[in-house]
Amino acid sequence: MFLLIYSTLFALTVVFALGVLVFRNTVKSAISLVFTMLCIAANYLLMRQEFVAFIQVIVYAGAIMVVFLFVIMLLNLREPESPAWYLRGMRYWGGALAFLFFFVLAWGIQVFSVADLTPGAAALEELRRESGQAEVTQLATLMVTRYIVPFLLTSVLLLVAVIGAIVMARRKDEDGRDITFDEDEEGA
Amino acid sequence: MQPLFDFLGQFTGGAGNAFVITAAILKIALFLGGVLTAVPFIIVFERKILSWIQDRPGPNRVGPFGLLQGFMDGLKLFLKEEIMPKGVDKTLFLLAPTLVVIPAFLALCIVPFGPIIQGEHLDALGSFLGLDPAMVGSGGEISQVALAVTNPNIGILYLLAITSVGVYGITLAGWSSNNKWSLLGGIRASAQMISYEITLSLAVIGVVLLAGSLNLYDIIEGQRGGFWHWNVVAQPVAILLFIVAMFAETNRLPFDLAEAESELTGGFHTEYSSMRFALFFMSEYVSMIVISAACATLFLGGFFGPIPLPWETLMEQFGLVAILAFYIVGPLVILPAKVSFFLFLFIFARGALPRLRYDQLMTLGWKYMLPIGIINLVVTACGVAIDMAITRDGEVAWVTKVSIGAVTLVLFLGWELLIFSRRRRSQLSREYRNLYRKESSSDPALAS
Amino acid sequence: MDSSLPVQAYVPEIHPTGLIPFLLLLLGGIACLVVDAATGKEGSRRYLPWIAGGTLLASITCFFLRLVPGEVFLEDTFRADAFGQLASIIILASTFVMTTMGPSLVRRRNLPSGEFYTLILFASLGMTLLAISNELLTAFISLEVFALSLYVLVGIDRRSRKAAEACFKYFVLGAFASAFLVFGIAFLYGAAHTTFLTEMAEVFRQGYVESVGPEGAVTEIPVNTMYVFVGFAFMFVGICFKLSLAPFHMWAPDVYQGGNMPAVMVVATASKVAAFAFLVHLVEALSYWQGFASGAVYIVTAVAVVSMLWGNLAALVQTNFRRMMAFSSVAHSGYMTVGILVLVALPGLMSGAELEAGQLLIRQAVILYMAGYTVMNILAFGVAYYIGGGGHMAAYRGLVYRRPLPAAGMAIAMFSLVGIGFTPPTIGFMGKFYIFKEAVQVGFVGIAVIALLASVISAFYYLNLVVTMFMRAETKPAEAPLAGTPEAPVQVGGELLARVVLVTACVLIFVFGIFPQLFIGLGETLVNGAVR
Repeated sequence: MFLLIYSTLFALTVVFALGVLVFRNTVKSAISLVFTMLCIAANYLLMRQEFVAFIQVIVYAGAIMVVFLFVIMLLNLREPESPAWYLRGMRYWGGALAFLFFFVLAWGIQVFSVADLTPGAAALEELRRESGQAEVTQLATLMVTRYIVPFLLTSVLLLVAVIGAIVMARRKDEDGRDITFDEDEEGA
Repeated sequence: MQPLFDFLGQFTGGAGNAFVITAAILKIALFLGGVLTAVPFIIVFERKILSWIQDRPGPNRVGPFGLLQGFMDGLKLFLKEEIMPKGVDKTLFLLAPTLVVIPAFLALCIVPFGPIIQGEHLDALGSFLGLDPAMVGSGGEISQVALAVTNPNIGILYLLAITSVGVYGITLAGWSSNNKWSLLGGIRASAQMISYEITLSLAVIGVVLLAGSLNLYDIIEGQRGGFWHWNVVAQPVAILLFIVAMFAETNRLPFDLAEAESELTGGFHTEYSSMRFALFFMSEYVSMIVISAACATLFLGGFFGPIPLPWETLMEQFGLVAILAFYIVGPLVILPAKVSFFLFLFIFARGALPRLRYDQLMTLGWKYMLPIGIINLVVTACGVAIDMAITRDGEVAWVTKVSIGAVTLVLFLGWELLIFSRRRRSQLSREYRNLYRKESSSDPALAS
Repeated sequence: MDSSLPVQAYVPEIHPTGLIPFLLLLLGGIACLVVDAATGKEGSRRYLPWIAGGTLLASITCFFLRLVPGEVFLEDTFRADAFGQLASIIILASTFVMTTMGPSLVRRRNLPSGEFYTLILFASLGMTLLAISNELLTAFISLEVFALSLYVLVGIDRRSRKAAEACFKYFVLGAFASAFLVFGIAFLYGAAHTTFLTEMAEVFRQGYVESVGPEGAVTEIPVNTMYVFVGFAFMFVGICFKLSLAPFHMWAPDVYQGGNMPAVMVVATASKVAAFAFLVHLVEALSYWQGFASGAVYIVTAVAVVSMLWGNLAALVQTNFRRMMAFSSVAHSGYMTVGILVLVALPGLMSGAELEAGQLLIRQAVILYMAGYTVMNILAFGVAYYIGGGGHMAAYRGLVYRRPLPAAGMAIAMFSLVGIGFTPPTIGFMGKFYIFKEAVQVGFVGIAVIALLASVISAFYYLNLVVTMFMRAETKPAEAPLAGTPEAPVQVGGELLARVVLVTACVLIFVFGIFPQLFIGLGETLVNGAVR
């Protein structure tokens, strides 16, 4: 029963991920990606990582992909123009490379059977039962102790991203004049 | 009833499993059935209240006082012809309504509509139902039954996640309709919902901090003991933010820019008819109920009444009847009452407020509600941290809650009265002056 | 969840003084934002250079005051050994030079100064943290911090079409490379069950991960070689992008050509130093895995050889100074990668104290090279910026006759960049000498020969520029000068500071070229203190 659920989910994840590539229509691609994210979240749920699962849904499906879709709709993309001659074969090269990569990974993972992975998960379960702490508490404890630096640095990263986005997106400079490209070009 | 579960257990691997599955199906059926039955009545009441506000009788032909109007409208939508306009993206056009309905109903299953039955209460109810105490009972296989469809540890995150996914249906409906008004509606909806989701989450985080848990039952447990323990006392600003954000999340007036019938004909659902339109319509009301219930759970003590009754003595005196009453009064009286209050608020706001302009909506969301939410969160976090540092018992004292509430409220009102309103007033007066000047210059009668 | 748990008082081990230089950068960045908002356009243009420059200098001073502990600190998140500290100082010096160029650039191109200086400070924060980070998540996030800052700094001149192109290419390819990096991190975590490099080294040394299963049973999970390789390969690709190593250098010419000169200078110097410092720490940790060298040597060799050859060959045919410098930086990254190669192979050849001594030698060689590379590039880009010459080679025609001192500086930089054969007293020579010496000693004679050959090729285009500077200018004085040519009136402020900085760079090229031990000794002093 469990195996059935697992394999169905994995298959769905792969199918949707393929859908992202196969659909020519960008909106459908994006929706496929949303479903891929949801499937990944479901995979996390099966691994009993509820927090990660729902954060995945909130962040990827709920925020990032909505913005994606928003942009796609605003841009109103049409069918892509046919690519330059040197890019035409890329689709097949990329596919071949992806398959190669898949086999490399599969080869790497089969050395390491699923049974080897379970002790870690089991230990986590054990720890959770012993300490009586929920997954969220454990994550939070790690975040404000051992991983405090990356956690705090993330805020700097977000600040930089906000500043950068404002610099790159604003239409008027500090004097209130429109920013347009100079015609004589050498730059500074 | 034990023989029934023993019989069912043959197919499900144990009578305990059978009980769990049966209980789940029962809970889903009752709750879902209740909500779905309520929707037509809510629609009728909405129309009634609106008509009273507008000084007209409202629907009064179908059934007594027009009560059956909603059912009949639903029936009509069932029987109408389904129209698929030319040039639509068929897959997405068909997918969109389901993508709206599914999250709305998924969010329902998180709402705790009654307490967790455990301990001797479970024993008593179990023996009343004739269940084996080894299977259902305080010492049995199943030691607690929560009166919610599901009770995950990260309950509130589930709610936020599901609401955030709900936007896809509307956006896709707008895009796939091949209609510019629909597209505009869809785009507006997506921008609006991701903007207000942030405020919604910020308002919720304060509550989570106070409860120290994401679990909805833990959050309700922290509000036990009368209305002065409710989170609304500690988070008066957060509940305001939550209510505003919840109007935006459900696309209700004054934030119904996605539909905006006066400018976008019908917004995202312009091209939908018959059953598919009914799905949009129904999911709007379902999500109103869900988010009202969530607000009640987070801020107004959920299924706990405003005045704590002496349940212990009542149970000693009346036994099983009192126990049954205890578990029934929450889901059947208190929570519905609170939800109805919010639903009335939804309807009343629709009757009383004009629709915002798009830029006003964005300004409100990003420039006012977001900073207020952040300040509220910071104050709450500081309060909880101080409390933790002093008592070190992992629980937030009532005094702390009240002080947090007082500080946030004072800050908010101070901001509102001192800065915001003054600026707003000067801006308004400037606008009026300009208006007057323009009019007087164009109108010779006024100019003289 | 039980909410009545007692609140555990867990105080992480923090080395408070060690954080001061980085906190200074962070606070300086925020101060820039606040001052910009408070003082408006003219005010921020006046004050911000001082705030930013002062912050950077103060931060450097903190290193010299030995506030930063010499080993791992803050829960093992940082590892500020001599190598890391010197790298940090080089990074901060490079960004400091950028702030000295700032005022003239901001005024000339009418840039938003608040964002400009803030991003410089945040970039330097990210780069220094990357250079000393001992933990993969910290490394990734600090890399993203400085990468985002630099993307924006390259394209901050919104009125320039080329800058927009440069910014976009840098951003898209950079984001792509970051994905590789974080994918690799996931694999390394899968292999070692830790994100801390020192712990990772320990795991790889013993060859298995201890995992506590149910009922406290300890199982030893062997390290998966495949995970280590895939992880390293992906991380290497991600870092190669930042280092503009050969197959991943596509962005470099366009970014160098399109971005504003100060930002390009930092992209060429500081960001590479940071990425390289992290790569050295990473490879050191991974090289303890017994099977690592056998596979990784091929990857690293390929990248190094292709970078050296392709970088130099492509630079030969460039007609644009900036593009030439881009390919030159590709080649120089290639030379430095030879040092990484040695580091990869070292644990297979020796062990114990000998190994540590060997690693120390390589770290010293690499840091010397990085210092030299940074100084040379600062000098070259600085001169190019202050004489107002953009990319066109024509701008350098006859420079010796018009502005002899900058021309001399440029010539020194070019000679030092050649670095081999006939320029012994320069730091470029010493850097290459040490790295190639290590390579030969470990047995990579072929690689060393290729590197020498590549250096000989490089002499052609570097010296070609020197020759160009001695040619007579062909422009007639009556004609209106081209924008960007030296004749065009360019208001360059802060001339005095510029001269000081560039003269210092010239001096450093020779001082460290003649006394390389001075620089290496500096690192040891920073870590071990003057007592030893």
